[in-house]
Amino acid sequence: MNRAEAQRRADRIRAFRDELADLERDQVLALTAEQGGRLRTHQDALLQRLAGEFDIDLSDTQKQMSWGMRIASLLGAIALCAAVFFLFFRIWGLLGTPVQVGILVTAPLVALALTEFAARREETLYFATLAALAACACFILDLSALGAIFNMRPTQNAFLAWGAFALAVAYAYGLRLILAAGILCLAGYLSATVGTWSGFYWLSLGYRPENFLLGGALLLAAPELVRHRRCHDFPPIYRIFGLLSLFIPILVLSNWGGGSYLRLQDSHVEVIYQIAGFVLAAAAIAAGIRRQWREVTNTGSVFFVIHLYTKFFDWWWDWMPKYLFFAVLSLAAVLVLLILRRLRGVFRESAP
Amino acid sequence: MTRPGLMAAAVLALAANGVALVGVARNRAGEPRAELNLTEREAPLAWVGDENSGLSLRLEWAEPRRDWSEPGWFGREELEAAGFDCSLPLDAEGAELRYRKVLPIEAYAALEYDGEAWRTWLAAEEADLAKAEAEFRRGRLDARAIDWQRQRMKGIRVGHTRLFLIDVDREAARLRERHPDGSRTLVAHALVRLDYVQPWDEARKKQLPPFLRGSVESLLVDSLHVPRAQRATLGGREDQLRRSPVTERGPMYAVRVAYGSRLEPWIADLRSLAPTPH
Repeated sequence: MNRAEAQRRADRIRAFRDELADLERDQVLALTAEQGGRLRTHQDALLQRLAGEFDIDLSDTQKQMSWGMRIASLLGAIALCAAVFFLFFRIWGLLGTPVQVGILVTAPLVALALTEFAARREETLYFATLAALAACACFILDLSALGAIFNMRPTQNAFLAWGAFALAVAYAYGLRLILAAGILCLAGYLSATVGTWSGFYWLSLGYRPENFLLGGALLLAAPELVRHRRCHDFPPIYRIFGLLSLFIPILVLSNWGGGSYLRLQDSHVEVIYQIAGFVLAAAAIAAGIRRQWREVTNTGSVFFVIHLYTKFFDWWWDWMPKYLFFAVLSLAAVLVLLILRRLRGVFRESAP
Repeated sequence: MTRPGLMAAAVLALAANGVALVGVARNRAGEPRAELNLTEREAPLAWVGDENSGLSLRLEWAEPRRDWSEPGWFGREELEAAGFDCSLPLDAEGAELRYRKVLPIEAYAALEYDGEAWRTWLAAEEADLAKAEAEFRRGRLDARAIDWQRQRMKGIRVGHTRLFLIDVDREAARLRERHPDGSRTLVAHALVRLDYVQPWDEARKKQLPPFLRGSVESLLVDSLHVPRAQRATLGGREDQLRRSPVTERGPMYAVRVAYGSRLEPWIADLRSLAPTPH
């Protein structure tokens, strides 16, 4: 059992106790004093054990505090990364080349050791997340500063190394934030590599948004290909970034046909990607509902609405009075709500 | 460290550093492929932020003159040599769409130091000034305009880069074969672009036939890190050098730049120069 599973178990026990209290109040079910006592003793012991082993939250207040700690840890991690960068650039001119290289090579290893140290002392991993992100920042700084010191030609392979490093750390500790950082680096590497297949320089990747599509498809497929027995909360992160890598390029191309590999008139390319955007968003919503992937449904819905509103803007913004334009937008929102409510009703009827 | 992921991350970090450092060692092993004695004119100090104690030089290079209404020295043939597919005739259907969508590619550029390209360019600039002087004498140019042109030319003579782009190819070896003097010409990784140009004839108010025109967008490594050991040469005058442009005072230092087997440069030597007499 890991921390997330322990938290889910504790949440279930709390929900069970609330429901049992309601049932007793409504006189539907009443446990004998002995049964109630045994149940409470068992659950209390279980909760105490889970809290001791995994440092989980046992109340809503604790949960709110945890969210606060999570946000503080994220902000702290970002600030620490910035501090690492600025500190190095502040002092590197005062150091000889061997010392510069020594610092750069050892910094990520020291940060990794700190991550392990923090993880052994604290089950919630707030400090470990901070140290892990610092390790990633040190490694990014390491390769980029080596490139600057030795005047090396930039290459997309650095993104592969950074992505693999972040993924290794993420899987070692089950850190979603680090996984997201690793996925971003790998998506950058894949997109740049796809661009080079067409003979273009890798840093031109942004000029052809289609370069990101293959990476997006691979990210979507990753949790289906690799089972996550230990890191149960990783597949949604893959799916979210996979969908973003598909939807954002499609959204860009549906408004900027000139950025496509397709040798068609810009307006034709835009129509193709507008249709693709609507179809893919609808497919994502359907797949999300069917497979119970909430993140897929939400991402699909957001992009469906963005595509819809972008089209409205294209068609009507210039000639329609503003009050009418926004009224149409609100009507469209009401229409989407009605459709989703109907769908929700259908799923409620089919639910056991 | 008992977690396999943690060990993997540590090994990966060490391996990536190893690959990078072995690459540096291989680049610098043996005789450099090119070694040029440049000055501040070709390698001025690069800008750095207040909180950056590092120091680097920026390779400053120029292109031979050419008219915008023609491909000049970098036309279709050179673009093909650089690696672009220019087989589709310009009057074929869809040619414009196809060529306009081409993105920059990585190729190699040859840059000549203080050679024929610089002299030709300088002569053209001198001829422009002579023409302007003649216009001034005929009263067609005012005193302020001619003074500005004279000052500009003065700056060019003492401070303009003499490093000129002369050739491009997708094969570094082929480029070196064509320009074998490693003390005068460097071969470097460059970003090369293709432009589909359709010039407009203002006099006849009509579109002229299109052509393909190449250009070098940038050198992939145009920044040279100055190691601490060589900084002493500048004697802490970095801010002063940045404040007054080299075109106003002439170069204050000379720099020997070497290019290794991977065509990555480094500063082999940096020394002070006596002030240029004006």
